[in-house]
Amino acid sequence: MEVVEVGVKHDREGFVKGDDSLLGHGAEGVVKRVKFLGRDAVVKERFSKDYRHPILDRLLTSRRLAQEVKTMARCRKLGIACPALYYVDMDSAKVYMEYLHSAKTLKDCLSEPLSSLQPICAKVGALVGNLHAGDIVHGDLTTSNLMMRTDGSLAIIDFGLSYLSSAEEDKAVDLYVLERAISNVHCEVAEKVNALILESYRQAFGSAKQVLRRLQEVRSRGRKRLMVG
Amino acid sequence: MLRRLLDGTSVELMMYSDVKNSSSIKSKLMSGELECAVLDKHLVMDVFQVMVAAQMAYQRYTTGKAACRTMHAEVLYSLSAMKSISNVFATFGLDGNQRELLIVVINPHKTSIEKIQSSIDGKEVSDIERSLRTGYDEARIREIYKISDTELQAGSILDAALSRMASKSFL
Repeated sequence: MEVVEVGVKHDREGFVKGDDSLLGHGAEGVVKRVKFLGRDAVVKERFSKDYRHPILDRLLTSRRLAQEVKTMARCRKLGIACPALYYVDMDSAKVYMEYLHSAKTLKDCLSEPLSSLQPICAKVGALVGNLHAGDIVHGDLTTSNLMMRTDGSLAIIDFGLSYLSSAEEDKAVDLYVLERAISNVHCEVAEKVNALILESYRQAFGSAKQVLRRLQEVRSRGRKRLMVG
Repeated sequence: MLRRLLDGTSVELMMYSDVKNSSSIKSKLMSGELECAVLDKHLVMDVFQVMVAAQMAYQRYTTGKAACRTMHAEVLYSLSAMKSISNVFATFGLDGNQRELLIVVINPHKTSIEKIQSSIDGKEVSDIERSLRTGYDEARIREIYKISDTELQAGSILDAALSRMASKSFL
């Protein structure tokens, strides 16, 4: 599920406007900050789509939800910081998870002066490298989905499009999406930042070399593989 | 201590120390005479953890998806990261030797609470929150949930256990 930038309020469909607890709103669901059994939490709710056949709709919703939960659980087992899972309610397609208190998105971090970016980039590269070493492909690696916490540790969020894969292609596309996200918003520092990230990626992930070779290819052709011939 | 689930259903939590009759409590639980979940308090790290288990049990039970026969047995099952039911009771339930117990009652009634209280020969602990946070058996918990050192780099032991409970049916 793609979720729009944190804090942005959409008035599409009316119901979201003025809702302070809303953190994000994407094509498939909403993300809200709530109290869950007395604790601060984030709830991600997928809504049903009227244009889909009801049986197909339930199947798709539950499969995507299961996929998301599975990769998050795997991520934590690998020691990669992502929100802790609290409660999955299959009947209403909701996932309750940890709320990362006063965390800042990578997007906001990158507007700091270049001199202080080195440690941040090293953490990003290491995290993505660990992710790929564990065969997890995030699927939506943007600067809004990487969160810097107050203790200086980096966490990754929004596993809605994530999946397991050992293919170099998938990992290269993951890197490409991140690279583009950085270039689009922070063009002045992009080149330096991307280079630093890839450097620590290489250190964290043994098979980085093959993925980076593939990244060259992806850069020249774009995210989608051509389906001709 | 009274807490509420997502739909407002109440949950009563009680804790006892120096319990002298845990084997008689166990037989009353098995015969269905006492309607509550009784846990080894050393395996619970936070009130939140047991409330999440109660929420899971309540939801599964009321929608007909429960693995156990009673809602209270389902609380123990929810707390576990294992899918096998018999192991769950051996791990989290009473073996007749525990002296410190945490008791969970979903949808409590005055009569059922009084019955539970009168069946337990022990001292009631008032500060449940504090007792759980400070008195858990970390080594046992890590063993039960199979939590590695690597995983603790991603967050606390409580978060690791909670993630295990929540993702159990998806793995």
